[in-house]
Amino acid sequence: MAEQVQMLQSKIEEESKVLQTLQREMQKYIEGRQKLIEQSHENEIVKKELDLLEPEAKVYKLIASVLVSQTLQESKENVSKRLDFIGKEFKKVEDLIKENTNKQIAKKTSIQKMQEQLYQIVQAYQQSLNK
Amino acid sequence: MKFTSTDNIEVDRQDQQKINSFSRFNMQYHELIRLNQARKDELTRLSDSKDEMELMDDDEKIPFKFGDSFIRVSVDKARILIDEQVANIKKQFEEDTKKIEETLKQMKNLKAKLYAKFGSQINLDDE
Repeated sequence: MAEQVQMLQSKIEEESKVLQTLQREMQKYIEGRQKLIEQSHENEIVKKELDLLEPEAKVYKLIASVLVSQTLQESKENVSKRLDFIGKEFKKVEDLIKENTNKQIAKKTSIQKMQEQLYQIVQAYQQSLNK
Repeated sequence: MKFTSTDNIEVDRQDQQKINSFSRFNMQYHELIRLNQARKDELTRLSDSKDEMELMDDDEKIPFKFGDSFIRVSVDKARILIDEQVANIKKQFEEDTKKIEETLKQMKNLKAKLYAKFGSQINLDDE
């Protein structure tokens, strides 16, 4: 019995570590997702502003310390491209989050099962002692 | 960094000080890494800005950022100012790279001592 118990305990510990790694991963995904949402908002605001402008309006882009002249056309295209990219990245991270969630659920279930097994074994042993 | 089990080994004052030191170095290390990464990004942006100005005439005027305001300067002057900024940032980057090396050395030193005494009861590796 002692051997079984030890085996289960070390398996449980192993799986728990894997679970912890998954949780840390999830944390990173969530942070990334949050960033994407912020970026998306920012770019949406810029897009709205640009849409309000007349075609001859002067637009400048800040690159490091310099304001560079851009055509309205260029600016709109840039923002549009950025929003597309953000959208794609967003979908990617959402998929990763889904996958991670499923993995975590599976791990938790497996750990729970092993804990139950452990409990049963210990219970059975204690009962056999009481007879 | 955490203790993962309590055994018979005690943590004396010196141990605690070592642990505290390690913690400080660790924080310093992460901060320096963060700063240098930001500098790298800024250098990329400054390089991009020079690329954008390449198609312009040397004496064309372009708004240059001074703090929160923009002042029109010639493209020529802008390039000079940007080069100055790049030089500054590179210098800071080098200095902090050295600091990072030193900090890592100190951390390695403390790790060796603490692992020697506490073994698997202490975890000093983050990632």
